[in-house]
Amino acid sequence: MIKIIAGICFFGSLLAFGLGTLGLYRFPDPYTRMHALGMGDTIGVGLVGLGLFLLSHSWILRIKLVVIILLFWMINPTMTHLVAKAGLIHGIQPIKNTKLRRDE
Amino acid sequence: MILLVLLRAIIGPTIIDRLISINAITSKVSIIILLMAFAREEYGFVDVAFVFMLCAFVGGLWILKVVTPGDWQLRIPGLKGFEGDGFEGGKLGADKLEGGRLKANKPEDSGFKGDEHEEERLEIEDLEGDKLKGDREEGNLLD
Repeated sequence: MIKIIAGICFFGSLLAFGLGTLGLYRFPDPYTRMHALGMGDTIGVGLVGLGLFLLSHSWILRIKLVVIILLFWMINPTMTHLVAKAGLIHGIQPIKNTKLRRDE
Repeated sequence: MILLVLLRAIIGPTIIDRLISINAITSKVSIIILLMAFAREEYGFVDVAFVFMLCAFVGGLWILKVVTPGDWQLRIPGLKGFEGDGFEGGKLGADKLEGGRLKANKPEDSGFKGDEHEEERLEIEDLEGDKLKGDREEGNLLD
């Protein structure tokens, strides 16, 4: 039963990675591509970690997995944010009709 | 899937496509290391995946540091920064940055004028240092 649930988690993570990669190819803009890839990676890593958490059989392993997942959930949005900010500073234009919020 | 993301990293029209593709590749490789650790029942590789993820994050930060113009850009003499790209318009809110980060381009321009003054300042500092030494030698030893 646990193996079935873990298999469902792995399949969902594969779906999330695939959708992220598809979004990387189908979106017209670097920022939207970045958004799709960040979402797909975050959900995929979370689901893989959940499946391995269910499959593992010692507590030290589960603690390591939880630390890895939490760290990844901090790292990946930070990295995406920094890359987007670097792109804006470089002057890479978003697609048309984009409303940029200006900080007063 | 890694190969598809790598293809985007190769053909990516802008630099941030490449950066985010490299980031995604490293995260996927980390996940593959985790899965291989559980498939082969060698659980030491969980630590390997952890360290790999941290190293990828630090490497990405360093690449951003080199690429981004600002205070922390590498000062290469022939390289005049990226001011030709999008700075003059200030369309994207980048004009707010002129107070803080983009000042980094200005000291290089005024660098040649300030050399003489720097020498004077150095002399003044030397005089002050001599005075301090004199004070120490003359009077204040008893304290």
